[in-house]
Amino acid sequence: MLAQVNHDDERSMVQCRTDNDGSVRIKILGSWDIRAVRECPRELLERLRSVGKPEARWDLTQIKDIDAAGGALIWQAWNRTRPRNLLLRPEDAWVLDNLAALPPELPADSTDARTRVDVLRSLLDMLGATVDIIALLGAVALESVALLRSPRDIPGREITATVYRSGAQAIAISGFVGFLIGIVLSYLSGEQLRDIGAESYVVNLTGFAVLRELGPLLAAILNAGRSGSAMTAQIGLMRVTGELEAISVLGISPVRRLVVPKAIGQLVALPLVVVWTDLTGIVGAMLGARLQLAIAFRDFLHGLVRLVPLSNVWFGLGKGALFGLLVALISCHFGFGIRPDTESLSAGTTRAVVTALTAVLLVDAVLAIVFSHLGM
Amino acid sequence: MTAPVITAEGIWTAFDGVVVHKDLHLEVHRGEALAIIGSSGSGKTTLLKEMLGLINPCGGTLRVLDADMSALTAARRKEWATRCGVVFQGGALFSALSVFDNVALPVREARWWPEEFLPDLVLVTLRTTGIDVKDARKLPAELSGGMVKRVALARALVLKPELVFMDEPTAGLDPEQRLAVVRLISNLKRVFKLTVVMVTHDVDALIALADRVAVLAEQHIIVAAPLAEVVRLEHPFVQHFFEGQTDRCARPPLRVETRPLLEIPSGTMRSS
Repeated sequence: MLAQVNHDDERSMVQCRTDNDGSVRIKILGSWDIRAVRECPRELLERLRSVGKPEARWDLTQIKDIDAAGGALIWQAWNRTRPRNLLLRPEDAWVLDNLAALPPELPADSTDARTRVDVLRSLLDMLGATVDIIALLGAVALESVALLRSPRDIPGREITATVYRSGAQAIAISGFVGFLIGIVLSYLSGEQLRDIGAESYVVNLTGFAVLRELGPLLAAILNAGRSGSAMTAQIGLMRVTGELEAISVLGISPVRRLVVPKAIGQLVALPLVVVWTDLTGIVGAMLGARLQLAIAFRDFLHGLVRLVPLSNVWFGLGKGALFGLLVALISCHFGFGIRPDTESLSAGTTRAVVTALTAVLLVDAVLAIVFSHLGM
Repeated sequence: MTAPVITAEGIWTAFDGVVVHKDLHLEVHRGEALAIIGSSGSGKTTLLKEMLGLINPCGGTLRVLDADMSALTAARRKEWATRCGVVFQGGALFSALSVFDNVALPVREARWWPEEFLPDLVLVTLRTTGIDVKDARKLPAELSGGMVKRVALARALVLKPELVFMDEPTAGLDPEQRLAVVRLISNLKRVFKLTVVMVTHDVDALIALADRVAVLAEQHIIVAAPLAEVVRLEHPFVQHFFEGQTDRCARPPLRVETRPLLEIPSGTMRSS
């Protein structure tokens, strides 16, 4: 009996011969490397299994080439044990020796376990993160006090760099967004107010909304997306490149060198961005009111000063500073948590931005309720 | 003699007006190990990247494995890529994937092997480069420098390529690990019948592995010859590179022991 899976001489072949005394001899020929066997591995295994009897005599000496792939097929056909009757060239033995040395329990695909979502676990993680962020706030406070005692160590360059990145570089986008939201707000509310003959209330409405709520909130949301993600990525990459360890080895506190300047920089920059967003928002609102309700710029500004108390501006600025600090702390916290691999870097950055946005909105809601109860 | 695996004819390369290669000629023959040496900034890595098709030279023709590198289409490139493996200097392992998945990646990408047979293939390949099965689930960040090189070698070899590029295969390893990796590469070259092109600064690796040494200086290959010939060359770079080691290099190449890493038993044919 003679059979072959492929016609080409170079290809993987299995020859099976039954001698007169009834003993079976199986000869494996051709190339048995991955390039040859990849075409039809299942068929080859099937063929090997169909001819393979435990008492058969296996001859592998005529094989042209064998590697782990071909070896693995033959090994499977043998049910992962070496047959008693085996002829093998010494230079090919490494394949079967290595296969024989594999443990019966092969490690499973490792990606499955990592992508599983566990609700309880993620809740616990969130709780742990909150505690860690509060601890980070404490560390920042302690370091800041220490810096105040020795003003020479104040990282001025890093602080101004943060102010520049979070403040100056955000001017275009914050102004643009503030202006557009101002227009939209006054345009749409003007339409509603005109129906009930309350056009002049557009000044109160947009003034309160922009100065108290939208200015700080828009600034913080843009800041979380722009600067927050950058901070997480920066610290995370420092972990990947080993710079964090280098900083610690030099005896420099990573909190002092990396977190404090960012926190202080954000505390300074965000109120300034809020002022700018307020300004552009009001300009947008004025333009909308003029276009929709024909309210003159002068009248709008007069009304604004008369009807909207200045405390709203201070309140908005305070919120801006708080949000800036929050974004800095959350971003840095997640930056330190990044493991030195690319997956963790991207996941950590995403989580930092999402958490920062959620925290900003949550704090904003709490403040709105608390302060309205206080009658402010 | 069969056609060369790599032919570089009149390669010119320039970046921002700085000429890196000027009329560079080089041939790599099947089955040989060619080492490229040259001072820092002489354009060794650039040449390697050109051979891999990552950079296109400004002029000249470069043929690698019967493919003209400047005319390699995306579809052709995929097939071409299965025929050569690369061991990058830092390993370039995918940091988010385990050791197992790193080595499995080329196989899965080429769709060459059914998933159910994959563990045997990957784990045996890992064992041939000296990585134990119990380390297969580790992430690259958890490995030592020597292990990273070994995993990178396994990933480069898993598709059984004809040609392997290595950028500084022994850089950053301690002497013991370096010797072990040199031995490993020498064994793998023999067992897998590889053609090896490597960039290296390591004289030990040159002595043990390189059949020929190509010296890249003055923007071109000034010589490509067996080590014993190269060391006799009257050239400032060559004299400096082999300073104090010329005697060692002039001797016939030291044959590396074959047994320790690949468990290839010598002696009688197995039969019973």
